[in-house]
Amino acid sequence: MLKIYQKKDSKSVAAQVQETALEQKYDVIVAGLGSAGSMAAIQAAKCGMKVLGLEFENFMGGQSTGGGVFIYYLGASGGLFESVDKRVKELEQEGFITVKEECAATGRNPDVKKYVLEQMALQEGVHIVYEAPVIGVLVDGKRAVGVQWISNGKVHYTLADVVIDATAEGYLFEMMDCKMCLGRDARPRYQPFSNVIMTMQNGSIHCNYNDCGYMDPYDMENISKEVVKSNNYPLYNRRKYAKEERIITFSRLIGCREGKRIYGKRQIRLKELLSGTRQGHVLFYGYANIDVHGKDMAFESELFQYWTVVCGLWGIRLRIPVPAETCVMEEYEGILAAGRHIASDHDVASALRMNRDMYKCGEAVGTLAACMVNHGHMGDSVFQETEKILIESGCVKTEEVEMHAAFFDENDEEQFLLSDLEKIQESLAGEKAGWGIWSAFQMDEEQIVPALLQWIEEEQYCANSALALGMKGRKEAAPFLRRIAADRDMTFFSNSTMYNQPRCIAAIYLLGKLGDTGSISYLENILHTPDFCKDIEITGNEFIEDHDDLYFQFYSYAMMALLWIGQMNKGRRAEIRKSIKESLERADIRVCINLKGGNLLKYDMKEYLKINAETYMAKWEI
Amino acid sequence: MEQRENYVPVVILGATVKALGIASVLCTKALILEKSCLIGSEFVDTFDMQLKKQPGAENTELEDKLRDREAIAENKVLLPAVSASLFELAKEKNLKLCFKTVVLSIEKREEEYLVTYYNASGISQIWTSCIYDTAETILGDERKIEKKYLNIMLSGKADDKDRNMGSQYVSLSEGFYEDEWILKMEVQIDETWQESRKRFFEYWEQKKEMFCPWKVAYIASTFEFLLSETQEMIGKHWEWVPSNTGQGVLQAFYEGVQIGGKQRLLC
Repeated sequence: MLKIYQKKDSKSVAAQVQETALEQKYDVIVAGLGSAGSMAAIQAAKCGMKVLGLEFENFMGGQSTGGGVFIYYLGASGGLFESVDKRVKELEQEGFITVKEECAATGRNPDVKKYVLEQMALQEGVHIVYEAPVIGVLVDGKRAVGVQWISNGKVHYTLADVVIDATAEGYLFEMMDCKMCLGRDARPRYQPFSNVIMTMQNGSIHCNYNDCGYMDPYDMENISKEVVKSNNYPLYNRRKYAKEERIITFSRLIGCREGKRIYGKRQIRLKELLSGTRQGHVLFYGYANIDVHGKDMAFESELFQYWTVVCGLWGIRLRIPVPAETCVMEEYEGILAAGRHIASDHDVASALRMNRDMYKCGEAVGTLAACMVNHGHMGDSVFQETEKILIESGCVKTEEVEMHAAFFDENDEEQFLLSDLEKIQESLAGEKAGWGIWSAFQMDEEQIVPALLQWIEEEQYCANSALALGMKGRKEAAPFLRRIAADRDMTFFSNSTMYNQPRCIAAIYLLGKLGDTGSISYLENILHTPDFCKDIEITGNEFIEDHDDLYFQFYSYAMMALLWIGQMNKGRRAEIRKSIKESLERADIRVCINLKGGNLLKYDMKEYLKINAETYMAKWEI
Repeated sequence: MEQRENYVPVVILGATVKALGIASVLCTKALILEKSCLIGSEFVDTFDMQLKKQPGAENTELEDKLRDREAIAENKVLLPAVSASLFELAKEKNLKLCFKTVVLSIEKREEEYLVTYYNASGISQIWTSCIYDTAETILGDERKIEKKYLNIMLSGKADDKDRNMGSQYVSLSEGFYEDEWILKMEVQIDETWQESRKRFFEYWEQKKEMFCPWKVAYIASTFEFLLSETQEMIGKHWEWVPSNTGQGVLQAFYEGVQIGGKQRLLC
């Protein structure tokens, strides 16, 4: 029985559909012609499919064009998008302003790209309909068979062999009430969003943005409130307008970095990624760091903490094999995901969203869809044919196929994963100790713990050995970690050039994970001393811009550490609960961050801290 | 009639300059539904910077805000400041806006209207007593459109070149700054975005030498319209009052304030 699934007042509902309402059939319908969707539509058509592309806006390319994010940040090279960029580069020389010279290698004029994408799609025979939101999914049993969409006031019901949800937020999967992953597990929250403006300076086009805070991309009321609030920030709401840096336009899209992700037949998890496990039939490879924009790292996963906070590896680029099964739902056939809503955990989601990778995702899923239509099913033969086509197009490189899933920084020739004890020891004394600590963490207990217990007694290895021991869950590390914390050790590793936490924050985190009751009074002192770090000299960088940022790190990590200690020590819960509650109620304690790029634009984090604390403490039995 | 739970006295279609004018008076008694996440795009995104104001039209909050920002020069207004001023107004007055929202249908039920719309929250409905449609098309119906334009911002210094546009459908006017120009290209009323962009790129391919060294800075992502009429009663308490009627930003806002003032007496 044919049903239409829609989202009504934030809930999925299903209703029967009159068969007489159904319109012509396509091989593939692509809902959303953004970065991924545009490639999916073009590629499916190139593979011989009859394709309908439906787009809410009036242009193709999504964030990479009208969204104003037209300068690439990482992402892997190769594939269909390279021919688009090549054509854009040729055309933009014909009387269009281009991006500033220093970004010329990676930036392309967004208007020209809109046009090139469109022409390419039309030449391949894609039927493009703009300003056509998809408002429902047609389902027959457990199979998606088409979509309901609206254009110029007229409702359409169109069938397809394969539907591709390229809406970035997975709106079609939401309509079908599919189980989806939210933001981070601890307390669902997505990455900060941005508003982008395009400006012209010295005859070239620039994109400027602030991180503007947090929003729920599935809640219109919240979106609208945040849009109004963020457009009142100084970058957008100026008191003076300079001719030399003139605003040309405001992005028509909200710069959302994260939304829900589907539960696919496979999920990419950071754990498997960092351990080098390759799973399933790899569709394409992404390439980026775990590009978390939020400064509230205290609420991220344990593995994230180890990688980013303790080892200081935020900037390390990961080569991410993406299995085809991450685009395929468990619950329904006939529908694929193309975009940042493919199946991954929250940690990987921050790495798998860059424009180039989204283009590749689209191309790969468009190819997969075409092969599914040709074969009439999903199976090994489909994956093999898909892989063949993607290798031919350059979307997948043969060396990637042969490569073990790896992380590497192309600017650093050092071998990152150390298996030699001597090399690990040497690393622990150096500026890039992150690799030594991470490598120690990967080793078997029997092999590394005795070495760490020995090295910890020597000053040059002490602090970093303590971090490594703490990561191994060894309580012997506690006294040393306490000292690092008490000293407010502001050492930063130089493995990553950005978004580094000082060593004392890593120590606080580990003390919490160890359930160290000996740290309680120190941690409580942080929560009750608003001037805790005022005397610490900071140079100011994108992550820790001023003492507000620094105090937030101390505060949030201290609070979380106390909560973990309370979790492991029932007898201390009452005291910890009282201390946290009192601190959060104090009006003189200010806990705020600077939004990235906001020129010291303050964002109050107290409410979020309260919610997290209450959620945690609600689980305690006192 | 018993007050419904999901009811608002006035629904305004389009977060246009006129809509903000209406809402600035009605405040929380109005809900604005807008398909993009922009305000005032019928002026800001079409580069319509003219500053006409009818005689007798008083200064409004918008004008005050623009003057504060030194965004008014002779007979032109700096359009990014229009956007900023309107967002500021929206925040100050706590106006109710739904962005990224598309109206699906409007049904009359007894004395009220049921407006069904779609956005990130899904399909929703709201009851209202009064609707002001400030968009140029009436729920997608183009019958009031006399002409349609795609506008392009060019960047380049003024010079003495005699620019023969090469087409009666293309005109050139000055922008806000002396090195800014607005090329207005008339397109077919039923032309799609893809057709209009193609039209421009083909024109530019032929004419770029003539315009050299000027360059294309930005192609508008909102069409500009010349309307055959500027007002229509669609139904009882459902009025079409398009924002951009060729009278400029300040006039549009002023008219919105006037409408809001009359409506407030009825609410």
